[in-house]
Amino acid sequence: MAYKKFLAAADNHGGLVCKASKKKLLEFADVWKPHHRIHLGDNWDLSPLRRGASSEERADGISDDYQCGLEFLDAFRPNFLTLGNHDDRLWQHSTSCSDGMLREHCAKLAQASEDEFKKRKIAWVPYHVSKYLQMPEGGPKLIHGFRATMYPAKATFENWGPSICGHVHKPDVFTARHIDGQASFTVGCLADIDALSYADRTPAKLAWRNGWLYGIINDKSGAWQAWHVIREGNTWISPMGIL
Amino acid sequence: MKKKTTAAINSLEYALSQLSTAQKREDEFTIDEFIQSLAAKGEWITASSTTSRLNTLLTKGLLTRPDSAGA
Repeated sequence: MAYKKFLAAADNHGGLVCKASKKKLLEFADVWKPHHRIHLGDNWDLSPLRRGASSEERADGISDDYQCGLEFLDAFRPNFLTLGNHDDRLWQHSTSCSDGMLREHCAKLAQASEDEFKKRKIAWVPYHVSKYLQMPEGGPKLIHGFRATMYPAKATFENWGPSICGHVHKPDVFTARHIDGQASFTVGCLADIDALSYADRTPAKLAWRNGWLYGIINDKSGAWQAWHVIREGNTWISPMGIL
Repeated sequence: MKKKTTAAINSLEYALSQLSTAQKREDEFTIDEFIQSLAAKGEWITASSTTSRLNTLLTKGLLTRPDSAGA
């Protein structure tokens, strides 16, 4: 019986990535040497594809955002990817955009993105409430996340049970009151929080932190445990100490 | 990055830039408006086919606004 190590990161938001956080994550990955690398979605921001995007937002284009997202995948080298609501803008536009030209080009880029995942041997799932991934040993469900409440880990547990997700940018833990134990985690983000200006008037933003999650999983029983690394100011705090 | 991905990004950038154009000049139209005008006449074609058709019309000097082109 042995434990395998995993590392979960989320919400780098393409061109809005926090470069310092990305660097710290990659340094941590070099030391932790995880067997499983998990990306929990929002690899891209894709704000020009947001419904109701202004002309100015659309004029910004997506090249830089897309390139940064791919660079993140190449640097982090995830084995698993759960697409997020921001990533999903591309897939949504490829089927339901009222502008035919935009719809067709989004479909092409969505297909090209799937090919990029395949080339990198990344197992992935679309952004859908019934889709999730799990590590080969079992353990928590891996999802991007859908519930944005004051207690997102608890809310996620209600729907998906033991799980690890991103989406809310807030490190959170829910330990179940259950005979079988189990828990749910939401992970901090890797985007530049100041640059995510759409939430500047949302108090929930005050709980956002840069960070990631690392853990171990038993290769026979699937029993698992995980710990947050959280940036407070310019200090990266882990249960192992200051990074 | 695959060549196919680069091409897809460039195409999407172009489509987005068309949408973000604030004001069109007289006789200027978007490819989507061209597609819509064909659709209104019951002809459904892809963006790729539209690009090809527009190139042909342009080469032959037959390109006019969709509502007056008999497209």
